[in-house]
Amino acid sequence: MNCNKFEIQVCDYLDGELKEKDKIRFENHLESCHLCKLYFQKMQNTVNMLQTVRQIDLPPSFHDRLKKSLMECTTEKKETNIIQLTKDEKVKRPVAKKVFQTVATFAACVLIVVGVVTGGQHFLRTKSENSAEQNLFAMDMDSSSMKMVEGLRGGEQPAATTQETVATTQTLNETTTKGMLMQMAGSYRSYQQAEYKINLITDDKQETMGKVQTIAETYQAKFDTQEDKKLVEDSFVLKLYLPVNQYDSFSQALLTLKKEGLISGYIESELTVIDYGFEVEQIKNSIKDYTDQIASIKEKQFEKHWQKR
Amino acid sequence: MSEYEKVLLTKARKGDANAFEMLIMEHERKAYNIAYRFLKNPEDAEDITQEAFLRAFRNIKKFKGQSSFSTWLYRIINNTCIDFVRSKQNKNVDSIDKTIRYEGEELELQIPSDENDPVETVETIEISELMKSMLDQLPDDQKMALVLRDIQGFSYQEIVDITGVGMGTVKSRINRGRIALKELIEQKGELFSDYIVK
Repeated sequence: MNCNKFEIQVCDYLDGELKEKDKIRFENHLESCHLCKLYFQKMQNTVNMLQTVRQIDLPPSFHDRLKKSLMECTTEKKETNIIQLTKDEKVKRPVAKKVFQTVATFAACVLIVVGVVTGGQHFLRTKSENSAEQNLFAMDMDSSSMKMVEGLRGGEQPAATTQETVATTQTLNETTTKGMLMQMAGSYRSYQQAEYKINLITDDKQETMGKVQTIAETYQAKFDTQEDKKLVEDSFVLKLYLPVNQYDSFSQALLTLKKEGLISGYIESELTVIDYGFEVEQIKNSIKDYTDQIASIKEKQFEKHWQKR
Repeated sequence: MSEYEKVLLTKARKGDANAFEMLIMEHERKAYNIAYRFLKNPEDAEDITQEAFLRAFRNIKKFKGQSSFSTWLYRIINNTCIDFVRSKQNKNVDSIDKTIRYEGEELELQIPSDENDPVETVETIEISELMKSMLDQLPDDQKMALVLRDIQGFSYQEIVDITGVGMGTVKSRINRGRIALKELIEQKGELFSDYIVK
């Protein structure tokens, strides 16, 4: 080996990239050539000094700032979905995600599967027990009026005759209608309601479930105990309803729990937010139209009645 | 990639910010240090690291799993740093020397042992600052190669994947970078009197 080749191979040698045969040749030259040895030592010192460069810690505000940016990024996506929804006049309702498993690397593993957003359906069949917002939609709507609303929700015009429409609309209590209109004029946000499925895999079911339930209840969540069923060993599902505007805080609280080492795993926060404000607006306008139609029909009937007399 | 990471990745692809945050958690510090050593100040490093993570989140659907997730992530860090430097080069150039804080005569520079010293010495900090100031004098490609190889400890192949250049180019950058740095150290020999082989 000559000195030029030696210099070329210094870095490979320092990084352990030389083959055994080349390594022996390199070391032989290193021992026999004083200048090359000096060059090698300087290069080695340089690398050593680079390796002493310390690793610095993240700035204290780094995580908060990143989380905020990521959330804003997510919000942007949600808003985009809402706009598309309005344009398409369709509500996408993805099929509930399959429950999956993961190997618990710590004592417990929490998987949160955010299920389908069923707020629209939910507000129609709500039991009016979860929140004040839900109660807005739990008023005296009989099956006919619900059918009408369902038709609107599907983006279809109700296939009813004028007489049927009158009959249907008349089933709405006058006071109730006024109340609905007034309440519908309120914030659309309150109509965002999501259903979540929480899949837990843990070797301590009761303790883990208790912790998650405590957190969830802090954020106005209600559990559907019917959904608490064991899938496989150490795995079960919890189903809960949570106001959408509480979701971020709720998931953050669970994440905090994880960071504290009390539970482990991950949180899925896939959340398809549907702005029911659009639908409510549509319903509101339709009710106004029907009210006008009723008034018009009544007026005509009144005129006909007097004309006959 | 572990099953755990795969599931997190699936969630993150669907826009789950929490899953993404957990996915990058173990890479945050390293990513920030790459940016910090490559750029000139901690503020820029934080901005660029944040920007890179957001880029990764927005484009995570493009990650096809052909490389490891960490390599893909560090590649974004690398590209974001280079983009930033290029954009800044068109505006102004800071003086390199102004960042040097050195009190030469009082220092006893020593190569730390392999054992982790719980108390970080002033000397180590000073060496770090001096090395950073010297790294800043290297061309960007050589600087990044040294940051990745010698400071962050990536393998040659990982550096190939992160920088997107061939193995020969990576080796060449590392070699030229080290030679240039060696010469800079020799020029500032009085600062490294206990370090330099004479």
